Amino acid sequence: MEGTLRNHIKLERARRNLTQEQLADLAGVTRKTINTIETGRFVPSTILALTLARVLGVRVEDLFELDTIG
Amino acid sequence: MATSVISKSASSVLRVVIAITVIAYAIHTVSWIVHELQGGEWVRWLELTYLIALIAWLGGFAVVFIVRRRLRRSVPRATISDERTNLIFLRAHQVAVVTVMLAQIPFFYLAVPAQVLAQITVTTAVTALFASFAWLDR
Repeated sequence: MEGTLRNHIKLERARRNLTQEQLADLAGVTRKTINTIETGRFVPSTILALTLARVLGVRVEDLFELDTIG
Repeated sequence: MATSVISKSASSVLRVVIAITVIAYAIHTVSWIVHELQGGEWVRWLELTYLIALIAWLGGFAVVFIVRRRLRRSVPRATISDERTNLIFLRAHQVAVVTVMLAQIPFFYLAVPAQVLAQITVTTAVTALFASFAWLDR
């Protein structure tokens, strides 16, 4: 079973007027990590996904969603 | 909000210096190997290449060390590594191990001094590790 992970980090970040650097700072990761998650090149761990959701003040399900489940 | 993320330009400069250092290290070792295989004779151009590469990689190493320390001091809470960089580093190690093993294959058939083989092994490992890290972290 494999699905494609989609995320709304860019949208949620823009809503809060945060730059990638600022979000990276809040989540304790590098700016490039935020960039690669946003572009779908890196799939974060559960811990990082939950951290990002907490930092952005949303539920993790609102931030990430599985596109397809085969 | 005071950001504690190292700037894009600073990390790019650091990356270039690291690349130059690794390339210089590889050139330095290759010129030493050529010198060994020529029977220990120093040809002028080879000696010059060896010395310039040696100065370049030692200098580069010092610059990287100093710049990293300064960056850490100027941005105290900066995140240098996280789960993505750790994963990339792990993959870069895997690439380096495979590359080193492949680099050993010719020496099943070629007789070279043990010192040369050791130099080749270490240089291949260091170059493959940094090159694959740079590629995966692009």
